[in-house]
Amino acid sequence: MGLVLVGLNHETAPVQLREQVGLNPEEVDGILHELIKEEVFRELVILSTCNRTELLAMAASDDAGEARLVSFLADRAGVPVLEIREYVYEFWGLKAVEHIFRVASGLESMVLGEPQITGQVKDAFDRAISAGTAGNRLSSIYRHTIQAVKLVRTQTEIARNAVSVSYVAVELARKVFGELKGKRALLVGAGEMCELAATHLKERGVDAVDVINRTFEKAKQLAERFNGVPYPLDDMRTALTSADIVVSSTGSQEPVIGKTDIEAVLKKRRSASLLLIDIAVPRDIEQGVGDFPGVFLFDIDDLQKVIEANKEKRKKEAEKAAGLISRRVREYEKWRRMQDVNPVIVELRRNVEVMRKEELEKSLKHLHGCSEEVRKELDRLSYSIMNKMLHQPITELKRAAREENLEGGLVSFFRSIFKLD
Amino acid sequence: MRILYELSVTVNFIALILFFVFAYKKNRSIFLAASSLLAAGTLMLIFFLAIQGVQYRSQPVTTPFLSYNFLAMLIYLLYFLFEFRFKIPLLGTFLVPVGFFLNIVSLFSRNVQAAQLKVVSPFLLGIHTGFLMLGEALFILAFASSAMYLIQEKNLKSKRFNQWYSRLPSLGRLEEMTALGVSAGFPLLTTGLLIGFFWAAKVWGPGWYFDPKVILSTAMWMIYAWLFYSKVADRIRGRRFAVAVVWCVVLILLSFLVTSFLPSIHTLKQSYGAK
Repeated sequence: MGLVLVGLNHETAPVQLREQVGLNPEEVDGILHELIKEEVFRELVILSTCNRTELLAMAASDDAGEARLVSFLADRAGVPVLEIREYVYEFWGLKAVEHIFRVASGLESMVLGEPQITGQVKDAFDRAISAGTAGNRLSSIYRHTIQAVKLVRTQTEIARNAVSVSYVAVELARKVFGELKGKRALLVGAGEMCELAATHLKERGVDAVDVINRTFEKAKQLAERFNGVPYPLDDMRTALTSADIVVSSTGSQEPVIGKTDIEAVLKKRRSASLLLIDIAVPRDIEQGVGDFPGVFLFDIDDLQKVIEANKEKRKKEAEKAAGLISRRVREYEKWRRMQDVNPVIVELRRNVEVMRKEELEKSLKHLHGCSEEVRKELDRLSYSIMNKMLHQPITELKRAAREENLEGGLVSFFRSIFKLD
Repeated sequence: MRILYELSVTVNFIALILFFVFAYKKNRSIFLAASSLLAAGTLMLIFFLAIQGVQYRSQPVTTPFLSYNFLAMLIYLLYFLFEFRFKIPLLGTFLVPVGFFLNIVSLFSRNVQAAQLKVVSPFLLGIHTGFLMLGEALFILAFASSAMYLIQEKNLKSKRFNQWYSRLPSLGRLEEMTALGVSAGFPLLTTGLLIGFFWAAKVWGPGWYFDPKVILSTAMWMIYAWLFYSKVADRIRGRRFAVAVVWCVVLILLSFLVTSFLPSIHTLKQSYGAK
């Protein structure tokens, strides 16, 4: 019996195949029940996201389990098994555990270190546990996976640096203002990018997001969503006076915010910092604006520079995370081996204790009328001998469990020499 | 007892080196080692000053040597307080050098045996210098956060997304810390000065205000009063505030040093109403 993982992801399979193989959360329960009925599987978990579908199983036989999982994926994709084999990867035993740790920590994600995958892995295991297809072994892997993710998140900065334009806008705002609570943002234009940046800014505590747009109706709709004030395009200076963060993305061919606008506004702002983020091409904000004291101007190329720098940082952190995960895998393996030997130790002690008590009773029958003191001393003596006799073999078994792979080896030998079930 | 002081300076020097190493090599263990060593060094300095005080039955601010070390001790203590409050590991890199500089300056200053000075109203004298020094330490802290502010502002303005950009805190938080240093430091400085004036009038008699140290301190106080008012009335913000704080602190440190060498009634043996 062994652990096997079969799957495909954005690096191994094209999007079309991923779409065909992918499972909706509603489908997963049915498939888990269906597959677990087959003799080959003891336990099963299915993880399916937009970028990956993976099946982790405890199978009666490694090869049979792997073959069945591959054929399941081939059926989903509607292609022959041989064809799907070109796109899938397989892991066995500890490699499968390591892979799950890496996936849950975001090391295998398209955006390195992205945190959503942890939730998706948790959902997959929770679904299998409630469907009754994840038993002791997979549940223990789940617990260790969560510990590994926590370790990676606390010991590395893999998820700390923003790698999308909208998040970088938030990161810059936080570098300028610190806390965003009490700050006011202004969107110039009501496009999708502006909206996304506004959503992130609001999540991070910005009080309100005003909107200025050529179509006033659109500005009104968007401003209402973010507790802001809508402005017509010719009211730019009024809008700028109360804003701390400006995100601009219009389709205008000419700059919509000029040096004269900022110069006029700064006098009323008492040198309060103003962050201008221009994600439009061609640019919406005149370049010289960034020279004013207290004004910080970033265009799309600057944001891209931050993203690249942050990606590099994430790569470095990923190396550190990989080391931590390897350590966690080793710890998991030690723990699992101890789980194998613990029942043997418990059974051995129980058997020997029964023997000891039987022999003690026999001896006491021969010693008619012995005092309570003698009885106690004999009990202590036999107990002490038993412990001393068992100490070395148990210590050795535990040591071997920690340091060696005992599968079928020492444990079986132990069971046979002590006649354990 | 001198050994305690020398040990403290050595330990603080190692902490200072580690804070510099930490600035270039981001490693939590180095930061923890630097902070722990600084804590040990500060404790030794506190013990040294306390023992001196008990031994000579006077406040640890009655000689330039003790004053510089007392100020250094306050700076180190403020480092721990503000690091705990604002969580800025790089604060040590900016603040500890100032404290250590004062430790070194103290080595070249006079340490008249306090017991030799028959100080009039020692309690008032202690309060005067204690308040002044706490105020100065808070301004020095504001100086450190302003220096960090200016570096971070330059990073943002010139779009340099380097290691310093990542590790220095936000401009908002640095400005908050600077404002706290100035707002807390100014009332303490004012109280210290007023008590000093009262004491000087009592001990030195008429003409006490012609002393160069008194004149310079009053001039410094006026600059700080402007800084304090500008901040409290929200008339100065951002870079201008940071630059103003840096200049003010440079001036106060200069005045602190210059007055130590000026012929002044403050000079020991002739000062403190020594008889």
